[in-house]
Amino acid sequence: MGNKVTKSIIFILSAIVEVLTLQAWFVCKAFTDIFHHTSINLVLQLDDYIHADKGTPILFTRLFHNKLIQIVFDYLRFYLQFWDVRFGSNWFSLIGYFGIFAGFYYILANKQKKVYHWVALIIILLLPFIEIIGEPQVNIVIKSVYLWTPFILFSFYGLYQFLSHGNRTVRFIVVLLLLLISFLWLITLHNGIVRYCIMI
Amino acid sequence: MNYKLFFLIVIIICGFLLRFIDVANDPPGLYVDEVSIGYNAYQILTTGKDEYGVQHPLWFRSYGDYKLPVYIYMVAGSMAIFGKTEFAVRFPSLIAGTLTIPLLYLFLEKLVGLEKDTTLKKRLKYVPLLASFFLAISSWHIQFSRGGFEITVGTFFYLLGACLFIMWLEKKKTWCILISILIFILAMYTYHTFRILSPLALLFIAYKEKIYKRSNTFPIVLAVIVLCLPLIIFTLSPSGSERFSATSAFSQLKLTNIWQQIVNYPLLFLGNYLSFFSFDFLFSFGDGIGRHQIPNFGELYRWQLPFLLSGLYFLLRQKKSIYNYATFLLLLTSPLAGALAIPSPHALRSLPLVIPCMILIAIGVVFIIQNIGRFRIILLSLLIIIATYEFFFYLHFYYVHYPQINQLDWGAGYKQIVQATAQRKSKYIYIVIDGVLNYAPEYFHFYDPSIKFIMVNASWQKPKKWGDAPVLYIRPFYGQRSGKNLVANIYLKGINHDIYAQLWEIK
Repeated sequence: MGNKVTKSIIFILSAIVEVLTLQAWFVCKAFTDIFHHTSINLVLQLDDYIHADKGTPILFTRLFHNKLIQIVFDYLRFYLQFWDVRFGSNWFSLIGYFGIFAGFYYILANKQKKVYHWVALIIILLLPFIEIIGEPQVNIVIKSVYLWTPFILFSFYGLYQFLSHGNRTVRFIVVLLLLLISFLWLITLHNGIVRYCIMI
Repeated sequence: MNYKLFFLIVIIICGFLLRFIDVANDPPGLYVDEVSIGYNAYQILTTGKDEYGVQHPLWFRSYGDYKLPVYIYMVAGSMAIFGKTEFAVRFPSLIAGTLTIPLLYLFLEKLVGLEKDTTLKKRLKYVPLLASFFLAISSWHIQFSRGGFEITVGTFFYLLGACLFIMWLEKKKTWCILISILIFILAMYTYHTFRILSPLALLFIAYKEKIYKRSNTFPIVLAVIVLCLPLIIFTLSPSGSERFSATSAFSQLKLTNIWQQIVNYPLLFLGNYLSFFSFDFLFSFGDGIGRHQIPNFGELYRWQLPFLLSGLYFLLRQKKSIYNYATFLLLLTSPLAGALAIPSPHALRSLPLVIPCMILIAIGVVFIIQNIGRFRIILLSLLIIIATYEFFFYLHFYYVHYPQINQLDWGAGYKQIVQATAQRKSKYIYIVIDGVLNYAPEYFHFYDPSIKFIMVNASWQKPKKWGDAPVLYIRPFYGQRSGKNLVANIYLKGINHDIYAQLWEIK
C-alpha cells in the first residue's frame, strides 16, 4: 500500500515537472529547421559536394553524392534530433527522458510481449516523422498533443516498470533525485530550448 | 597459425595503413599546436632547452597555456630519426593510435578470461577481435591518430594502465600493478584529460585492492604521491590554473553568489556531461570543430547506432559480469574531464570514450547476430554492405573534401607564406607581418627560424627612419588581387584558387 502511495506521489510530481517543462516552450512559434525536411535543399547540397570532387572518377561522385544517400542521411539526422539527450531533457524534462528509455528497456526485456507493447513501441518510434514530414508551423500547443503526450505516457510506463523492479528503495531514491535535478534544471537552465525553438 | 592471431595482424596492418597513408599532408598542414610542439621538440633535441630557453622543462609554455611534457619529448625522439618534418610531429600519435588496436584486443581478451559465467564467456568470444577491428576503422580514432594530438598517446597509456590492472587481477603479479600505476601517472603527464581520469583510476585501484587496510602498501602510496607532486604543484600554481580558467565551463557563468554556484555548477556539469552522449555529437555533427572530424560526420558511423544501443541493452542485462563493470566504468568516466570545460561536447577531450563505444558496438553486433536465427546471413550481408559503403564514403570525404573544406582549420597557408618569404628574404632589409596572421611567428620558428620579422597591426605605416630600405609586408588577402608592388599571392588548395595571404613590397 505504502509503495502505491509513494509511486502515485512520484507520478504526480513527474507530471508537474513535465508539464512545467512543456510550458516553457509556449514562448516558441515553431521548432527550428533542424527537425524539418523543409530545410533540405538537395540540389544545393549536392552541388556543394560535387564542386569539391574535381578530378575524382565520375563513378565515385555518383556513388557518394546522390539524392538517395543524401535523403537517407538527412532524415536520419532529423530523426536522431528527437532522441538527442539535449533536446529530450528540454522537451520532456530529464525525468521524462529517462522514463522513455526505461520504457524501451522494459518492453524489450519483457519475454512475454503483448500486442500493445509492440504497438506502443512502433508508435513511439514513428511519431517523430510527423514533425519531420509535416507542417513545421503548427502551434506548439497542438504539437504538444501529438508529439508530447504519447511520449510522456510512454515515459510513465517506463518509470512504473523501473520502480517495480529490483531494489525498490534505491530506485525510489534515484527517481526522486532525477525529479529534483529536473526541477532545478527547469528553473536554472531554462535557456536550453533556444537551440530548438523559434521564439514568438 | 591461430586464426585469431591472423585476423588480429590483418586488423593491425589495416589500422596502421589507415593512420599512416599520406599522414604528413592530410590533415592538410600542421595546426598551431602541432607547430608549437614541433618547434619545442626540435629545440629540446638540438639545445636541450625549450623556446624560452628553459633547460629540459617539465611544462612547456605555449599559446595561452602550458603543454604537458610527454608528447613533446616523444616528438624530440621522433625528430632524431625523421628530422624536423610534419611526419615526425605526427609519428608518436600515429604509432600510439596503431598500438591501441592490439592493446584493446588484449584488454578484452583478459576481461573475457576473468568472466565467471561460462555461457557469457562463450558468447563474448569474438568481441575482442571485433572491437579492435572497429577501433582500427573508427573515424574518431583515425582522426586523432593522424594529427599530432597528445590525447592519442594519453589514451594508449590509459588503456595500457587498465590492461595491466586486469593482468594483475588475473595473475596477481606485483610488477603488473606497479607498472599499471606508473603508466596511469605517465598518462597524467601526457594530456590534461588524464589529470582527472588517471587519479580516478588510481583511486579505483586503491579501493579495489583495499590499500587503506594494508600497511605494506605505504611505500607505493608514497611513491605515487611523490611522482604526482610536480603535477599537483603545477596545477595549483597560477600558470597551471591558467588553462583551467581559460577553458572552464564554470567561469563562463560568472556567478558570485555561493548558493547560485552550488545549484548551477552541478547542473551545468551534468548538462555538459550528457552532451557527450548526445546522438547529435555521436552520429550527426560531432563537436563542430573542423580539426576533430569531417563536416557532417559524427564521431561514430551511422550504421553503428543500432549496435551501440543493443550492446548497451545486452550489457545492462548482464548484471554480474566483469565486462559490464569495466565497460560502464570506462563509458561513464571518460567524459568527466571534458564536461568540466567548454566547448562541450568536445571530441578531443573525450577520445577515451571511443574505447567503451567500440566495445559496446562489438557486443551489439555479436548479440544481434546470435539472436536473429534464420535471418543471420541476410543481416550479416546487409551489415557488411552498409558498413563498407559508409566507410568508403568517409574515406572519400577524408581524402577529397576535407583537405579543401577544412584546410584553414589546419593552418593551411602559413607554411606557404614561410616558403615564399624564404625565397625572397635576401632582397629585403625588413620583413613585416600583419598581426591578423597571429600564428605566423610559430610557423616561421618551425619552418625557417633564420627569417627575422616584425609583427605589426593592420594600421601599420612604414616608419620614416627606415628610409628607402625595402620592406616585405605580409598580410591577409584584403580584396586587392593585383598591384604593381604585389610580390606573391599565397593560394589555398582547391578549385576556387582562393587567395589566403599576399606578400607586398613597400619602398
